[in-house]
Amino acid sequence: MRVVRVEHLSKIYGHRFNRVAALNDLSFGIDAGEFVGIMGPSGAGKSTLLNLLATIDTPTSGSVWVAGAELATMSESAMAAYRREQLGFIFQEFNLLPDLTVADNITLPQTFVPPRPKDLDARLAHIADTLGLTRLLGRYPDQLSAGQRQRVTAARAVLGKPSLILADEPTGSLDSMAATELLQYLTKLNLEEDVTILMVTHDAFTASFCNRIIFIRDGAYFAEVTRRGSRQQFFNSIIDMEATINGGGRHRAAVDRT
Amino acid sequence: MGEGGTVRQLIGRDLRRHATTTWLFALMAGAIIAVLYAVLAMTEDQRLMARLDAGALTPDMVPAFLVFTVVVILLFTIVFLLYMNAVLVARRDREIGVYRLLGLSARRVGVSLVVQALIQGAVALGVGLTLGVLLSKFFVMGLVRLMGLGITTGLLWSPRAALELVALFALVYLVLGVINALYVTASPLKRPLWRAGQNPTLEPLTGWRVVWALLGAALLMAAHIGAYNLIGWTYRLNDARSLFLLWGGIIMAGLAGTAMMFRHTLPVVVAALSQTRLKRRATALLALVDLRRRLRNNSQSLFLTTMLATLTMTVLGSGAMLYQFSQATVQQSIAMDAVVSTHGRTAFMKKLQPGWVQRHVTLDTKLAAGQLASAADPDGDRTIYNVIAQSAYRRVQRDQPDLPNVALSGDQALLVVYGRALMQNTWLKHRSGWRVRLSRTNTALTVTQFTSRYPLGADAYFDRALVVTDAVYDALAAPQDVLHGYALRHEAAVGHFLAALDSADPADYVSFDQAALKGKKALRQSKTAKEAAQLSRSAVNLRRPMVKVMNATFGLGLFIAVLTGFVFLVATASILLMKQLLVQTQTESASATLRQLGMPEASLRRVLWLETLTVFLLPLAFGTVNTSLVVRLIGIMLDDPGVGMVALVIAVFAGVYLAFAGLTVRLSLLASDSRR
Repeated sequence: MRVVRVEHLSKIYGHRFNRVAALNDLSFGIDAGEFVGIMGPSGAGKSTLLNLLATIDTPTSGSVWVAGAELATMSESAMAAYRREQLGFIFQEFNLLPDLTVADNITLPQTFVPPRPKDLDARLAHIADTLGLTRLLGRYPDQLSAGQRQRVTAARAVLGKPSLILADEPTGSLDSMAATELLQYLTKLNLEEDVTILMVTHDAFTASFCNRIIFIRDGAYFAEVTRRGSRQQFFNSIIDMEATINGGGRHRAAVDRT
Repeated sequence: MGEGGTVRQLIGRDLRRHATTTWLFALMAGAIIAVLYAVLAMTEDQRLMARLDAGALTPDMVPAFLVFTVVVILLFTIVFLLYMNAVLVARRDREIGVYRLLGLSARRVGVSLVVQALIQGAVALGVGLTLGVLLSKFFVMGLVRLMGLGITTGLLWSPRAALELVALFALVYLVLGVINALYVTASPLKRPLWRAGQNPTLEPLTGWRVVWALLGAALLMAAHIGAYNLIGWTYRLNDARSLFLLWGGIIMAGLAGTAMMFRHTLPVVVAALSQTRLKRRATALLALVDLRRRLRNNSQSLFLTTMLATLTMTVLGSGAMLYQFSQATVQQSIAMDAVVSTHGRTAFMKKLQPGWVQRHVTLDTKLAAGQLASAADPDGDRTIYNVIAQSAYRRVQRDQPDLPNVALSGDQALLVVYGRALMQNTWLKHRSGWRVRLSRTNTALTVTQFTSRYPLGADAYFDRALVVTDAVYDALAAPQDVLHGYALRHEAAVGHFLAALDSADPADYVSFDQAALKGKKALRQSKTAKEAAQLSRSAVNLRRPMVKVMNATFGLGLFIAVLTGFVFLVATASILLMKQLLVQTQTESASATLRQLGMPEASLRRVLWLETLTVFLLPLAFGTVNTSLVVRLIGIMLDDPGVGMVALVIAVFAGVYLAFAGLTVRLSLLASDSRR
């Protein structure tokens, strides 16, 4: 089942004589249960794409379909409902509320609009168990390590059983140990909870945990790499593709052959 | 670019960046300056003052009180401006730190701060003086109305008042700018850069905090109970030291209790609340958490605004109560246009035209010394009573319907006593079975009823009065004391007659020594003070001059109360408003996160409303409790003049105050929209 369908998406900033196309006729799709990475150099349009998917910004032309609904036709309140029900967010800066306990932070979005789900406590216990947060539920974000905080964000994102999780550089604020741990947890969520994840990153190691990487350059689809075989092999092909996208022609040919 | 250019740019950018708070601060100061100007311009208008003074008790009373008010408001304003300024500059620590880190010299930052303060002062003065000229007419109208005079006037333009205010506030704002410059340039660079932005986690609910919370609640409750019973307890203590301890203790407990209420009790209550079912709704949970942070960060400003709200409402409430008291007092003191004794009647009748009299009432009384005693207090006290027959009392009652009904039989009596409410709240309350024994005739009477309403008005009596059955009255052998009441026509000639009569003040005297009180010698009434111990009263009591004096005095009082109340209100509301806007900027990133997580806009707005209203309502609620205690005390002392007007004034205050809460929410929403 197609969860995300992006069709001829363009976003142009500025006007008349000073126009910058952040996205330029981008099209791709994501199926349910995929763990997809979006990669590309700085200024490629990764953040713009994420903002459009999150309805924080509106496209100039083209359309985005998520879980069968077109985002452009939504009203303000429908967008809020969409973000609340269909999306889960994992931010680089965590964006946890410092005055709420871990448990309250995780369940907060589910209590925005009554009624409160009846099985919320059970779901919280389950997800906390999956992400190793059970003993931290009563603490405040300031009392946690960066890796633990990012796991709280992940738990908050998953709890509402969204159609899609948007992860924006989730390992950006973490050291390599914490990053690996988080990515293992994300993989676990993807496999065990059957969550669809779209992750934006510029780090090849982080990206190697995905099933498929979509590369964009100058706002347009450039190439994609799908994982076959070991993570090491996948990592190598990502590195090759990064070199290609930055202008290394030799590697490009190599990847095209596979 | 020259040095002047960079500083100018810096000033422009700073003023734009903080436009909302800068404008608000200038407008609030402008409102206060407008009040100051209007009052000063009134005192500068010699002709107006002379006419206002015509109705006053003492010459120059009106200008003296108005100038005193200006001084009080000025002192308060300066303290308020200093406080607000400190609040506003402290939040700019970080941005100024960044300027200096990037290489802007401390001197230039200092100069820009001084110039910014002067610009603000100029705006405040411009707004204030314009508004002040417009307000002046309404101020005069209000004062004239309250003082019961018939004067009209136009807008008041007084260059001298304007110049005085310009000079004074230019100086005040210069000082504010210099303080800011010193504060910023003298602080080490490291501090502002690292301190801001840190938002430590809320403290957990520990046993000690609960103990402190309970202590705060207990202290405040003790202070309130003490204030409620203050008069009764004061009467029971008789030495100065324990009185000092009682009053001082209640005030200290109230202050400390309120401070602890905001510092400990309310945070604990809110923390406990956020553990309940309320946490299941995001709106409630977020509002509670925001409130907890507010209480932690701003407990002192909440304490301050509570005190200010108390002060404002007390000033307004007691002003209104005194005004109401003055209206009631006239009725209670002199019930008809003129009330005279036999001695006073000769002077009164000399120039009175028979055609002026609409009605004439005569009240026969007998003067007797008596002892009031009860089973609990067999000695009681001794004083002079005017004894009145029940039938005579009922005759007067026809003209004076506010007198209570009586139905006496046998030895029953109605005791008329001044300050009944005071007594009922003190020693009189705790005793029953009161008896009066008239010493010379040994007449024993049982007091079955009390009132503070004297037939024809209290001013015509030496001390207390007793209403007895006709049989008891007829049997009583005692000197006569006849009182006369007159209702007069409303004519200019009558006014002149009364004014001339008012300047001569004949008096009556009656013996008050131990022998007379114990009934060993007859009471002797005289026109001059002859004996060592005598009671006196005014022989001619005129209602209209008294009304005039009362209106002038208490009308002026109420006017001053409203003015100072307005200034305090502006200060209270602006402290809360500014604090709320500052908090709003700090929590903007949290609201952005919530919005992104899909919180509906309406819910975000509801959280803001909940939180703002609570923060505004807390000082109002505590202030209202404090004020009602103080006003109750004043009411008891003033013999219960009623609380209708007090309630009205406080309701108006609360309405304006809550309008400020609405304004705060609107400004917060505007600010957050413009940042998005």
